[in-house]
Amino acid sequence: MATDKPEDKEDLLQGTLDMLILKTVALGPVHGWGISQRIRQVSGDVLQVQQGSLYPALIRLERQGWISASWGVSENNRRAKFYELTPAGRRRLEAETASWERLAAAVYRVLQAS
Amino acid sequence: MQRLRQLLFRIRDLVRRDKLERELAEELSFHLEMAAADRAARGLSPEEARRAAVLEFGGVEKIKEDCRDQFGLRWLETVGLDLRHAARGLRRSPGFTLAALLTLSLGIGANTAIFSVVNAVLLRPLPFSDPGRLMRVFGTTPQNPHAWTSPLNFTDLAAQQRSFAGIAALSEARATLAGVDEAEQVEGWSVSANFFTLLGIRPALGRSFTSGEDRPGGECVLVLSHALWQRRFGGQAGAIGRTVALNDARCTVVGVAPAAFDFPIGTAFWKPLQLDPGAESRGSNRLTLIARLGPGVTGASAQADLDRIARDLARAYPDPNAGRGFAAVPLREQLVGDVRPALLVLAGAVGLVLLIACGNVANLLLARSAARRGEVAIRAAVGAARARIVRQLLTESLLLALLAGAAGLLLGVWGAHLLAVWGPQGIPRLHEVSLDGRVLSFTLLATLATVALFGLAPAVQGARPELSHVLKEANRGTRGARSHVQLRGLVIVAELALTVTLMVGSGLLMKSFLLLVQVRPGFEPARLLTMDVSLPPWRYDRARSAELYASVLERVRHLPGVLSAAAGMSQPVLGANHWGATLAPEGAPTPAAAADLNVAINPVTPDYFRTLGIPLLAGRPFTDGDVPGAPGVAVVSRKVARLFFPGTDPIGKKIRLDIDLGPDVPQTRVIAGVVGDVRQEGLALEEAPVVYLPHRQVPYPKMSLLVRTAGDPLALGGAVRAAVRDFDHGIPVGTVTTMEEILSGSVGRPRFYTALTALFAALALFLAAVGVYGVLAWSVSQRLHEIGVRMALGARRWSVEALILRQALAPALLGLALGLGAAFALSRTLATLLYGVGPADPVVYALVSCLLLAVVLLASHLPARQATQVDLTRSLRCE
Repeated sequence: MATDKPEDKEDLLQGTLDMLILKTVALGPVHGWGISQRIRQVSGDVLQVQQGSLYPALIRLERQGWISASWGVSENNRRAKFYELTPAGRRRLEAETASWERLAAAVYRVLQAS
Repeated sequence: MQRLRQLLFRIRDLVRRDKLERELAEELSFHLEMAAADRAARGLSPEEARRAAVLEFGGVEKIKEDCRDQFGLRWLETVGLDLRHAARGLRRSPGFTLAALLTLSLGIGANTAIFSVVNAVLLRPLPFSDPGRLMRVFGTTPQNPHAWTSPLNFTDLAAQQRSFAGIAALSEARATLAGVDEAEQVEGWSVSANFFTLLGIRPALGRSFTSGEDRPGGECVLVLSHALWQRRFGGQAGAIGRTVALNDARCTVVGVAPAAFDFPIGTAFWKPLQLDPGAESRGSNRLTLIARLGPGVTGASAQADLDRIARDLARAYPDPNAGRGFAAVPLREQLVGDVRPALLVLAGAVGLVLLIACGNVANLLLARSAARRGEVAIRAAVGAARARIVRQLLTESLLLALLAGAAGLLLGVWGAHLLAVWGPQGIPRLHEVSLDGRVLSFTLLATLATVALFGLAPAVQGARPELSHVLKEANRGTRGARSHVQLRGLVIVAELALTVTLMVGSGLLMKSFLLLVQVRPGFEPARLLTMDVSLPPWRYDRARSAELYASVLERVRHLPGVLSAAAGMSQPVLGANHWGATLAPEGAPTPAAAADLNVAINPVTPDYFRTLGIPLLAGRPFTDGDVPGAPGVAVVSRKVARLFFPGTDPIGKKIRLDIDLGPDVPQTRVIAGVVGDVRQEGLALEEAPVVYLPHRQVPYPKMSLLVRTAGDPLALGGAVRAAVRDFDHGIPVGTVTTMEEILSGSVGRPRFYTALTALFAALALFLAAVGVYGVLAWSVSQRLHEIGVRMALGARRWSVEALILRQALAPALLGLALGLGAAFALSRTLATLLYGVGPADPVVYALVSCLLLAVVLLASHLPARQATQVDLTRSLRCE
């Protein structure tokens, strides 16, 4: 969705975090720790997700029907909650990604104007 | 759609709370372990790794809190928390809770009971289809706006009217129902064939009348009332098609009315009204009419239509119809209109009681919240929003009110049942009182209103603690803020004012009732047995009926315990059952004051005046010599003598009665005697002018038997009945009762209203007294220190007592003044209920003032005494 008005910083970050989580989960079932690790690694240590925002976000995304959760066994034989993307979540991810790319391109254009 | 999903999740969370918490904790600890393991893998020692992980993780509890925001329905859970907390709080102070619950449930219960009656009588629509369109159509004369109509006028009206979808006529049909062992007198009505369809009533059994059945010469068919069907036919379906002997005619039962249908009130049967236009006179007014407004017709246009027809009829038949008209009144208005003011007064009175009860509970809560200011201050100090605190305090009030509301509902239903059972006759539809949705909603609304009244102010007050002030050590204890004290004082003033208003109203009603029952009826009502004895006309012609009554009375006189016996067409107090006529003095002009006056004509046996105890003022009563063939005589009441023969002796003068007394009965009579006036139609109405005629000369077959007994009249009831039956099996004897019971029943409604308002006023006074006591006792406990100082400095006991009493006197005087003012302003609403008492009766106002001040002083007495008995050392030390 196009953002016509400047939303406050909180919302932007929340929407972006959701998108990142969805993308990470799209690559296969993963637990909370795995999500934060993957985002950190792929972004080259730039994006470090705070646990305080990760877990509420995971709950929210699950409630909204974009990811689904199930308990499983982790790589070191511990019980952990794994998340994967739902079809609705996949559609949401595509929409959010497209929207983000439009936004980023627009911002870049403005910054490049002399 | 998203929102719905979220909502469903949250609702599901309410039951899975524990599981959610556990899983969250497990997930977070897993994350922590992985983080620690990750650090350990990078070279830190296990403890350092763990500590670093924990530091990076942030506060676990905070994360949990953030997650919890997603769980469950926050507001619902906080409500649950508040309720549990409130319940605990109530349990911890059982004295307060019990007092508040008792007060509130009494108030709510009383209101529910009265509202049930108001609902059944005034609010519920009549049990007919589309009852708002039903009208009662009266005939009107210049003197009487609620008179009856004649059959010929009715047929013309029915033919010419344009505003009604249907119109039906009713005529009284009291009849003798022959039975196996005893004949029974029943009240029925002859009605037009469309009567039941007009009202929209379908019979419970069988059918109602077909349109042809009200033609003259038609068969006699009956629709029985449900009660009669149960009583005489055992409620059997086989009653349909049976024939019964009604007034010596054989009538077939064709239907049974539904159980709840009782219109007109007390009807035992309905039969078709078979009018023969050829045989009717236009002047015989024995019909009353009901009609249904046509679609889209208003009452006003229907009335205009009726007026037009009345004018035409008066022009076409000037003799009977001059000055007569029709009046249409909505049926419900006509049925319940005259009890509406009284019921509304009762509802208002009981509402005042509830307000006073709320005042007391509010004061209790204020005192309580003063004691909890420390707790509230701590809540505020750790971050509770003011709204949250208010909500918490309000929840306690809500819980209290809901509990009281439930108890009040039970009380109210029970009370309504009592009212319906013990209520006086004359309040229509009282038997329909029952619990329905409207009563339930009313109770709920009353409960919520009480919360708003007594809970809101203390909650708002209590949530506003001056934090530093309260938390300081020096201010422990329950000393309330100034605003608290002021608020409680205001509440007491309001309570006292309302109490005074209620007391004045009740006092006025009581004085009115006392005056009413002290009205002298004009005869001796004690030990007087009465019953209706009607002779079936197919067995007794006029001469024989006179003989029969004479024989029956002779036999009754010889019964042991009987002092005298007589009979008359109409008896006092109940006596609307008489002929009416105009009277003219023979050979002299009618005095102006008596022009067009209708007098009551009452054929009586010779012993009538002696038996009833009506004083003979001049001349003689009737004797056995007043027989047909002897000169026609009359005995007049004093009012007749005064009005028609002012200043002269009426004995021996002649009067002419404008009424057909029967064949060979002269209408010109000689006045043989003058007797005292009696209250003919109830105590509240003035004495009516009556002309008595000797029964032998003017026989009438439907008389009331009156028997003066030496002892308890009812003990002889059976014997008198048997004496009648011995003469003729087939003579129905009506209800046997005593004149005292009739008199008592005639004031049944004023007694009912007076008793109820007195009960409410007493309740209000008690509650207000308790309130005064409570406030004063609390105030004394606050001022212990001050009192101790005063007494230590030498104040005498009485001056300390006076100090406390003065504190009570100020609100009492203010409340009294306000209350008397309000009572005066509202007094007009009572005016219709009062007899002989003006709304501003100074005696009542004075008595109420004295009573209130006395009660306030009494209530203050104990705290005042306690104040003087204060332990000096303790109070001085109490800082």
